[in-house]
Amino acid sequence: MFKNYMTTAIRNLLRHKQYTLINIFGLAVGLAACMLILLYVSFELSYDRWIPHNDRVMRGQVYAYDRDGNFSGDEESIQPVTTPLFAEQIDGIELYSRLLDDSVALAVDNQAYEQEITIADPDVFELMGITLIEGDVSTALDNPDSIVLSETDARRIFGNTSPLGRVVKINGEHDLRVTGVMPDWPHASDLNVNAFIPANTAVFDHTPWRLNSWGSFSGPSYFRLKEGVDPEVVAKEMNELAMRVGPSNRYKDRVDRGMKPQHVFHLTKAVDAHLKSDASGGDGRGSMANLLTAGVIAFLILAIAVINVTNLGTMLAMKRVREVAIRKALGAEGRHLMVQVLVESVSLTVLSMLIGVAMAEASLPMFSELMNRALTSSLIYEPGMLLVLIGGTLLVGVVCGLYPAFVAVRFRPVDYLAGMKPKVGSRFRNVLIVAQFAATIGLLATCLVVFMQAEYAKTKDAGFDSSQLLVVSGTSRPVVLNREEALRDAFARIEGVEGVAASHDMPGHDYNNWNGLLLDNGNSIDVRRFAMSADLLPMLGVKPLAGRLFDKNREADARTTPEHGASGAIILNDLAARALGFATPEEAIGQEARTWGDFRSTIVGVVENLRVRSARSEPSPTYYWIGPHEYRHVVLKVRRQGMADTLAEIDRVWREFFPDLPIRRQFVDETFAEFYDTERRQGWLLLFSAGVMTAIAVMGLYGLAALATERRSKEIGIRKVLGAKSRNIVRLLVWQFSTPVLIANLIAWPIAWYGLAQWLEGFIDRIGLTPWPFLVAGTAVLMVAWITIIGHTLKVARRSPIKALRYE
Amino acid sequence: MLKLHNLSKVYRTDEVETAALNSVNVEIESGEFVAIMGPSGCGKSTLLNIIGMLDSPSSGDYIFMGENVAGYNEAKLSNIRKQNIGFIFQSFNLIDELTVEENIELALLYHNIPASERRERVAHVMDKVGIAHRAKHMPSQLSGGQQQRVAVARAVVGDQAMILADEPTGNLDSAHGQEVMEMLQQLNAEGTTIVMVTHSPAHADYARRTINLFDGHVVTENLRAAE
Repeated sequence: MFKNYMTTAIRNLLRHKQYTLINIFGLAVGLAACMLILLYVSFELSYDRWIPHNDRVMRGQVYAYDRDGNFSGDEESIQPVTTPLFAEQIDGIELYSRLLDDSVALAVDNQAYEQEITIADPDVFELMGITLIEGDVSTALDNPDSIVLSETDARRIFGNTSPLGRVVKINGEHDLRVTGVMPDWPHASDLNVNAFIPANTAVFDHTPWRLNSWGSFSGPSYFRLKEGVDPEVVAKEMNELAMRVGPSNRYKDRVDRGMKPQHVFHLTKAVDAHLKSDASGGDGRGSMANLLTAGVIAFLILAIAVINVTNLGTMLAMKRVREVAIRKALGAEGRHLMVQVLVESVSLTVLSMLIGVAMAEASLPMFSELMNRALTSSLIYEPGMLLVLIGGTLLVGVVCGLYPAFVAVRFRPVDYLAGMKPKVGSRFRNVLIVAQFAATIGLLATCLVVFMQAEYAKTKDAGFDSSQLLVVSGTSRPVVLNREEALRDAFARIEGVEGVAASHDMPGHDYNNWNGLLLDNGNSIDVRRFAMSADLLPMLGVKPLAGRLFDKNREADARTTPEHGASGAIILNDLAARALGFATPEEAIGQEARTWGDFRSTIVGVVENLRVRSARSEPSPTYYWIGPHEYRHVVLKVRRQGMADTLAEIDRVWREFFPDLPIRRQFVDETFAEFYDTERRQGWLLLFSAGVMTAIAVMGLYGLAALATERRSKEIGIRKVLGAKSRNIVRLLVWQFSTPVLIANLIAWPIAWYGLAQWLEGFIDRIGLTPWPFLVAGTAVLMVAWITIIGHTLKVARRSPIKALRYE
Repeated sequence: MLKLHNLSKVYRTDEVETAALNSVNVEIESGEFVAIMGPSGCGKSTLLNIIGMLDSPSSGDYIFMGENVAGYNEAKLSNIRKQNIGFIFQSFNLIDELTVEENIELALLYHNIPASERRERVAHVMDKVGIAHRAKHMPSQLSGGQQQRVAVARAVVGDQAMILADEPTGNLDSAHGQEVMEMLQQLNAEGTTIVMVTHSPAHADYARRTINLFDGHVVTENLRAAE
């Protein structure tokens, strides 16, 4: 009996080639999309699962509270100073390591390289389950002047010779010895490690606060707890310890005054870092929300393909009423027909799945580039995934065949013998078409809005003129900072450089210094401090809202001492002025403010809020000051003409100054574009999905229109005999299929509108929602549908009516 | 074999009631060859469909082999039908996607018969109707007469006690028509009950009894003397 089903199935599929192709192609694309997204999701879920005993490997975090005791955020790290202290004092901790990222200049044999490094503790190898290719795990980080390189970096720097024991010069002043080579860090990790340097290194002596300040959070700390130890108990002990040995003004005093301490420690699982952390930092973090979106899109694409098969299946079942009637007359029961239809739809799905796997393989490189993930096709052929695929194929096949099977079962043979044509399922079919097009239109509108937002955020006024601005970074390294002024002078002499300034912060470098600002009237705020040379603001084209900018000729403006974090003159941004209670910018001018150690500064100006972060994060209240020891970047304004020569000259000057350090430079506009990389990727993914969905849905519509015109051929014949023109016939048919698309708009719009409004909430600077993208999406889909249907119906409408009438 | 008592069939649409059969009383004995005749729209096909259990009467009794099946549901009817009744249609109603052999096998497919036995019986019945040389052909490659022979083979392959034929010769030329009628006569001689709807008085003559229908009533029944 099964053989008979298969034969009929195959011959039927071959007989209705056109519809079979539509079905197979649609399903294959749908399944391929699902597979890709499934791969992505499983990759995302695999992050850091490779860490041994990951059920008890924890990341330290703190809830931070501001000076008024209000919750101000969940930091993704604890202060590195506390990590060894906790590990030593708390019994439940088995292993620990801090993992503080930085980048250094690494020189060997007169060649300078940029090298990403991670400061770590000796436990790190056991904690992360790392074995060394060369070197000894137990001693590799014992010596303060050791460095462990990843395999790729070792090869990049030393070629094929063994690096073990070789000496490298870091930042032009520290000699380190290579003590190990480790395998490249897994892609599926929230951490990104290229080289390890021990925590007691001298390389970062110029930034001692990173490792010894109770206010510094410069990177995560990981702990492995002993078996059976409750993380909450460990966190409790951490809090008690901080209360005892931490600075009293941050902990004990506040608690005594009935406030929350500045930081409350807690532990989260290391494996959750990738998906459950705050993703606003960018840097390739994933989020459950993204996974959900991806899943929903995959489901929609597949659903649209399944709807096609169902719809065409019911229509084809009508074409096969004769076969069904005969089978029933010969004794076939409901279940026989059910099985027969299901066998057909499952074989269709199996075929589609095979094609879908090939499609997924072919598009994987592009997809993994789009998602910014290292996905490989070998993931498809893992047993778990294969099982899901086979199960999924059967499920999809059954879902596809269920309704057509139902239609076949309900059909009574006597109706066929009596010459009746079944009308089953036309309402159901219309509901499905509406659903298909609602999803398509909704997604299309969504991707339009996502693109518009990315474009808007990119071109959003940053509060300064970012064109032609080149940032040279890495100038905070002691060897550079010592000669930073001379470097700026040398840059300024280059033909083609229109301006040179120094700055603490620039787009693309998340580095925050905070300070308190106190007025004589008692008003005080927590505020960012932003060091810059006097010439930066004029070079950025910033105009004061009130007062003036820094003046190079007034020595009092620049009066400062390294420890005070403020200069004689400071400039507020608009947010800070408001936060300090000034009603207008003018009111702030001439007022005195105190910072660290009662250092007195005069507020000489108020400027717009300069934007140096992505549009997702809110600008902070900030004061600008002249603070040479906090400069981290040299900012250059470069003339457009002869740009290449100017850049070459800049590189040459740098090399002359610092032959051991490679230059790091980037245009600000490029950095801004990178901020919205994620949105752009999302936009492309959505656009791609929407395109695929439209294609599948329209093909389905075409199939239905073709079958429907066939069914209505008698009606068309009669209409033509009575004098209808081709045009009238086409209009009639086009209208029949436009209605569901129009209704789909009404469903898609409010849902997409709501979702997009939610999504846009995440941006501080965002576009307003207008009906335009929705209208464009709706019209575009309608147009494509029309073109498809008109092509076919015109052919039918032009046919001689006699043909249709003769065969009825 | 079967007995129709006061049997009526009414078709209802929203506003119109059409009586296709009106208090029909018919009795058919086992091994009979009965022809049903009458003008278009007289209810011949409806009667045949009800006898074949493809349709149910609106009122009255239908006693089939001692069982009143008038109120049976589709599943029960289907079960009795496939055990006892074979069909031959005017338009042959072979399935285009299946070969001759497969079409015939179809009638055994739903009977839980092992594949080997199915093959045997199909081969046997193909020999009997003289279509064996066309076993692997598709219906579209056969002449009308050959197609109807396949249909006859399909109707008898399950050893059905009764064959219902709805104008089996309607789409055939006279030579082929006669061939099919002779085949039916042969089957009847072997003990199969045959009920046939026809327009052709000549072909009705093959039957032992003719029932004339008019507007849903049985008007006359003619018994032909045995030869």
